[in-house]
Amino acid sequence: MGNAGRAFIRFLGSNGLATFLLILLFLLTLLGTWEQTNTGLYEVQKKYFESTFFPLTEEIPIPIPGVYLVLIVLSVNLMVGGVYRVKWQFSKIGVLIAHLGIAFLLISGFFTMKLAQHGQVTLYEGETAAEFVSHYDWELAVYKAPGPGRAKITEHLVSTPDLEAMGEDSFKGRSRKFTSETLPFTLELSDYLKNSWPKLARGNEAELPKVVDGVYLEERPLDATAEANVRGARLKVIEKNTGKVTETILWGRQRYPFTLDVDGVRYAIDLRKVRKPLPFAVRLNEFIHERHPRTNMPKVFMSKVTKIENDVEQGVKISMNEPLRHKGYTLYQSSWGPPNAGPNQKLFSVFAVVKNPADQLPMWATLVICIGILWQALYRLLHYLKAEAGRRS
Amino acid sequence: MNMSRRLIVITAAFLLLAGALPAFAADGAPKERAWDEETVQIASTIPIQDGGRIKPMSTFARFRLIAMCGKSTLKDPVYGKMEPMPWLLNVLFFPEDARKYKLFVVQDSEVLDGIGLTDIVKKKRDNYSFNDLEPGFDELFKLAREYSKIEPKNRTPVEEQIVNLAFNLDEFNRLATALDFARHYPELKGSPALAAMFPRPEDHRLSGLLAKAGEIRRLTESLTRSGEEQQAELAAINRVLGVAERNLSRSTSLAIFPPSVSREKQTEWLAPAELFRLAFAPGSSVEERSSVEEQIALLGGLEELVHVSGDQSAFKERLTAVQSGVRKLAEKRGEYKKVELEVSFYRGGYFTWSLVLFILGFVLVALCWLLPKVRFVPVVAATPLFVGLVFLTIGITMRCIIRGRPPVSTLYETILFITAVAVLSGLLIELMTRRRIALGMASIIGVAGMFLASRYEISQAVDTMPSLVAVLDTNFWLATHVTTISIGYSAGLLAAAIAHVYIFGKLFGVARGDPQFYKSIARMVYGTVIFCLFCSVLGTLLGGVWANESWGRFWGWDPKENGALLICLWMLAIVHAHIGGYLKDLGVAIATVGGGIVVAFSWWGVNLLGVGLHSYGFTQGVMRSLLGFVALELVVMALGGVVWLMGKAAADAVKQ
Repeated sequence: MGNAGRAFIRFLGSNGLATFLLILLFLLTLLGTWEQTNTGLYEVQKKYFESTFFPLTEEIPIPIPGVYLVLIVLSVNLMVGGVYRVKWQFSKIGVLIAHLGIAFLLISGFFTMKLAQHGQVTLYEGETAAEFVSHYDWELAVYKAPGPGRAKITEHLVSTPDLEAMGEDSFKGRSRKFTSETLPFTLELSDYLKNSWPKLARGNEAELPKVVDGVYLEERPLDATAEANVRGARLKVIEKNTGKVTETILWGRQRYPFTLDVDGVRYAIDLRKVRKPLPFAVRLNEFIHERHPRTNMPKVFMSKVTKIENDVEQGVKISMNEPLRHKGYTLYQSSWGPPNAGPNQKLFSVFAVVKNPADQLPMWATLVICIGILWQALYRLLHYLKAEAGRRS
Repeated sequence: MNMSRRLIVITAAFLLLAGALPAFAADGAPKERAWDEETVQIASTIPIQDGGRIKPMSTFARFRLIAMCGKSTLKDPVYGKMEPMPWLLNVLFFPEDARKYKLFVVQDSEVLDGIGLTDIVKKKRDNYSFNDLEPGFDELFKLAREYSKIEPKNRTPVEEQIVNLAFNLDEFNRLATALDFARHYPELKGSPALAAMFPRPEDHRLSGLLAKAGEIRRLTESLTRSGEEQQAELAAINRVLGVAERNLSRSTSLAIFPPSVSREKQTEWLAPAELFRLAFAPGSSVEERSSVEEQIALLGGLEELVHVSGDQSAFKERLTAVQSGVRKLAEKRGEYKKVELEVSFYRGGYFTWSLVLFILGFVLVALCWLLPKVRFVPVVAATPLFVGLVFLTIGITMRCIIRGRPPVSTLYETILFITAVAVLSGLLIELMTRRRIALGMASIIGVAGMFLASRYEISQAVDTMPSLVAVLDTNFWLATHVTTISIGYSAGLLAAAIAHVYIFGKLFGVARGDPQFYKSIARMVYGTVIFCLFCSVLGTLLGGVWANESWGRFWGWDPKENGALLICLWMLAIVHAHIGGYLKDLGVAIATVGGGIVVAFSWWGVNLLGVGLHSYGFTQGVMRSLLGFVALELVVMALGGVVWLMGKAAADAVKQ
């Protein structure tokens, strides 16, 4: 390796670079925190914390490195520094252990970001579910509408990235077709909106090309809370055999999917939040909600559920700080409703669902970091006390 | 008017005033109504359910008074000085006097202009009585209704004050009329049957009515079944019951009757109004009615108290009976054991004492700086600091026992704990270094912390031992994550305080010929930074583990989490820059002062953003103080820059 190579390696592992990156992280965290007063956490997270670069402002598109990129460079700095710079001495053991723990933590963060699945299950008392719904991601599902009985359903899905690409400004005014060999029709989606609300067309609006059956979708500004945005689109179903076109409006909060009959078979088309299966089912038996006496302050939220797996039932209580963990999935007590329920009204309970293979890694990383810092701090303190004693004597 | 006449008028006025004054005792009642110490103590220990927990009546009185008056002691120009418990007794038993107290603090006279009471304004901030404000009630409550529809964070200060004033006046009026049921009895006109049931006037007191609820119900049922001719009597009885219920309806805030059943069966205590409901509610069973017999007897005791309130010894005797009755019921449910401890806690004034001792310590430390050669002075200066710390620790421990919680579970408690840890750390550092610097910083942080705690309690005007929301109901994480983070804050602030000494010492040329002096301070600063870093990293990561247990994610970029991360990043940057040689001792000192700003932002600032899962720590009215602190610290950092420039210029001069 030449001088330039060695200098570069030295730079990559240097304290100077570490200091610079830490200050940059500090500034990005500060900005990301401040921006949460105006923008929702989801948007801020995407912009500052999960990006490699983001533009300074819309008007000044200077690329600023995002936290994701800074953390990758910091990991490199940490490893290179650990190998080339830090002296492997007894006096530095604590520092080395702490840095190892931080590397461990960064790696677990990376795995969490790439592998973790998040969503929720909402159940009224007496209801059962074996799937959970994503907080933010949307999909278009096409399936044969089930008849009587509970036949297995095969779904054709238009995935989140394909749909979301249509919501970008660059896609405005265009449409996109989706088809499958096993389906007797082609879908043509247009006017995909990230936040929309259906409206009845009156007066001149009735003439607009976007109006279908007297209804059109009004585009709304994105809500600061990402979960509150409701997707919507215009859909044309073009039958392959006859070329017949059926037009409709799809909206994410529709109670029932759009249905149509083709060749004597009824199909359902649903724009919805992404659904993912759970390897077990959960039935909500009772939701218990207690307030501190004579106040509206919540004291206890608890759901009494039954976990059902291979026809084996097991009663479980899920409450704040007491989740249900099973087969890599964790169900947390997240919310409940309706907020103004009467005494005999059925309540619903909302469980946040997380599947994260790196779930426990941060805890171990924390332990390693703490051992390292404590070791080093005690070592330095003893040295300091010795030096002070020497100074005084 | 000539001089002699003027003197006569002044003398006459003085004599009149002097004659009038002794008629009032120090606790605000006319002398014959003054509450003696024993009566106040008995009243203080009556338990009441308020804010979701059982507390002594004196605590209930304390925070009601603070909310209305802006202080924990009322000072009325006519009625004199009043502590919370005597004040509440006066409000309950002598409401006509209480309406004249200059009780309600109005921070800005614009509030009074807004409700058309311009003519009573004397100062921008002043206290007014209920009677002073009464002419403006219509406008005040109209505006308050309008402004309460606005989100609190979007209200202007005047709008906020109007809403608060209306709330406080309503709350006061509820208390002042809470015992009206004992002052006005429904007349038994039109019902011979009722008149026969209650032959003497004192029999048809509310407690009497409730005690015979079963008979009255049976009577109304039989009248309902009988013919038309009985309907007039039925209407008369319903009227009597309607008046009784209305009279009781103002007493809802006085939940002083523990139910006869166990805590597991019923958590809510009963106010007088609820006794009526239980006794008379259609469908209430015999068991339900008989379960409130003891409480109805206590209600009778309350009525008696109103009637004997002018007779001190009789009042004390009846009050003792009520207190012991309530206490007996509460003890049966296991809800009395901490009431007396809480009374002792507030009577002890441990935090006030620690503030006084920290001030004394600061004065002695200043003396110790003036007499550097005298060896025993630091020991003398450390003594009040140590004793102050003991008082503070006793207070914190008592709170832990009363609440059954670790030391930190509210924002108020962070102030107490952080102050205690900073003073303790300062004393320990002083023990190791003997430079009299950590001692000084410990005293300054002690004074500032206890002063802040006192101001915070007054400004928030709510119980500082509140019930906790469901997510915080976990002693393990409160004891580990919250405590560790608070120790980190404490160390960060102490390090920043010591760094001030470095900067100002250099700026004013203190110990110019003693480089060891500055080396020692630099070591103290850096060591405390490392300690802060350790606690902050540990606390932040423990918080992540807690979040993972509770919400399913280790890190969510919530403002409070970010605040803790900012401290870690700042301190890590200092450490790396120091190791890399980019920051020398002065640079570390300047950056550590910056660390103080970061700690303050994390501790207070993120709550002001009002967003995120941790917004239960949200507080109002501290923005100005926080900005003031930040501005001041930025000036100190700039002065550090001046010191650096001076040093550089001096070094250049030496080179030349």
